[in-house]
Amino acid sequence: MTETRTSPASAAAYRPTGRAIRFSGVSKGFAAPKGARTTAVHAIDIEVPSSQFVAIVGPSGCGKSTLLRLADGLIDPDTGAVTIGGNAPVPGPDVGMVFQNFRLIPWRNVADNVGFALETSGLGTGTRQRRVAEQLDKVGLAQWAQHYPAQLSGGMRQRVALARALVGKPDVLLMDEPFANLDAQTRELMQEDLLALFEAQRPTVLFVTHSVDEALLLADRVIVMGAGAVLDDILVDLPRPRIPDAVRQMPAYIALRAHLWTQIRRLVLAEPSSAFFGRHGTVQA
Amino acid sequence: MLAKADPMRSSGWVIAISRLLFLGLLLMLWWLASIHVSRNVIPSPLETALAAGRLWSEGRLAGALLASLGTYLGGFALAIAVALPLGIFMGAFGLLGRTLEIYVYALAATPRVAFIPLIIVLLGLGIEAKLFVVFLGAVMPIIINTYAGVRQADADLVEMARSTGAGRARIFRAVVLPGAVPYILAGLRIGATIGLINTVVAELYTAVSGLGGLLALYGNSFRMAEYFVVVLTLSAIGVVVTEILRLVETRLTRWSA
Repeated sequence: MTETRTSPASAAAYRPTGRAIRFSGVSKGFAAPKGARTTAVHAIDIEVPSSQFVAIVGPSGCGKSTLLRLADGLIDPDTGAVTIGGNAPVPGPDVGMVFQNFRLIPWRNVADNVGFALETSGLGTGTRQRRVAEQLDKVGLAQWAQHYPAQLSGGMRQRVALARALVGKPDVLLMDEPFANLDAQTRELMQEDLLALFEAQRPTVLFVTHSVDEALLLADRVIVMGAGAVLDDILVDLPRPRIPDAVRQMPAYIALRAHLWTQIRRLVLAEPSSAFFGRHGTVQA
Repeated sequence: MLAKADPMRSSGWVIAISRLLFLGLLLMLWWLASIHVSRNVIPSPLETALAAGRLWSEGRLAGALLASLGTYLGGFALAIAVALPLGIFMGAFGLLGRTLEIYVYALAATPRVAFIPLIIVLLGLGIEAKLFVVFLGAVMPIIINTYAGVRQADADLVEMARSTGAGRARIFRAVVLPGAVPYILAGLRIGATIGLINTVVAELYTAVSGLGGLLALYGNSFRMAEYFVVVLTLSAIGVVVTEILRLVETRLTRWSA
């Protein structure tokens, strides 16, 4: 870990900075039964500067995942504009997306799942195979390349999904509760891996989570969302590289955590139907 | 993961032995039934075996078997050739699927035997009519299952594929079609079973021939040992074809560990 940070050569292999993401006046609704429309996000203005790690927290159904889909170009806004590096987002390997439920192709082995992200890249088979092997090596799954997803544990599956998101050398990472389906120990290890990756390569990251602690540990900035709007936007001014156990002891961390919890308590009490704890109960109190 | 293989293998042996024991039990019951019911209705296993040897050495069984297999496999192959592309197109193009599906379901719900007089009028009593009866029986479940399999593509995987920049054609080839394979194989298995039923129906209703013809001949003349041989031959065909399809399924779904 320390090696990658002190060696500029390995960092230079990647684009040094991620592209900025901007949401300006973005609203998006979806068709609901009986011809109605529900508003997922409403008049959102967020500017994510280059290489910032932003965590988005908020109750289930507050529009967090919609923001990620908008940023990936999977859906278009009804009004307003989303840009990545100044351009409208187009889905592709230069933006890595990681989903909560892994979404591995069950009939492809690990290597072919990771390689899937490169199949639209126009690279030759040999180059693709080399890139996949390198990426699997980085996430510690080299010896599992020929296994099928059903043969792997949850943590390994999410590492495969992470490798698939990273193999296109993206400068933007969009992560939708990526660790929510993992057990507590695996989650901690994955958080450490993600911290090391971010601090070495500095992509721009949008990270949706239910966990206040996860948000504060990983991010430079935490955005609190409720009912499709931004309710709070706070900077997490904790030094990097972050060592999880050390960070959690810092007075600044404890103060931010108390502040965020006050906000969230108010949100949950104001709207008792929206379970902040979500389906997976991942908030670590 | 690897440790799982050993208990699987030993339990496989246990299953094989249990099945053989059950076969013995069935033969015993058969034998008991043949003793207690009039000889003219239920032949003993031994009589049946002797009749099988006789039919085989006369060449009658082989001839009928070949004729029936020709009708069966020909009609089934035709059904696959039509149903697979049609089901895939119906699933891939929403409007086509929604337009055709109620007609497919209606036809599938109609007893196909009802068409036989019409088929005879149109196609006569020969091989064309027989092939068409088999085709008509096998084609519906394959269309319906293929269509359902393509329609029920995993929306999460499709979205993941889109996020990597994959276009419609690549998503269809890499995600939708392989995901439909288990459905398609289920359709093939049902189609194979109905196709075999319709083979016998066709041979009974059109020009009497093949194994269906032998069934009618020995059934009507109360030669029950020979009749049993034909029934067991038909059941053997059914078992062999569904086992082959099951083997294909196991091969194609190895990944499900």
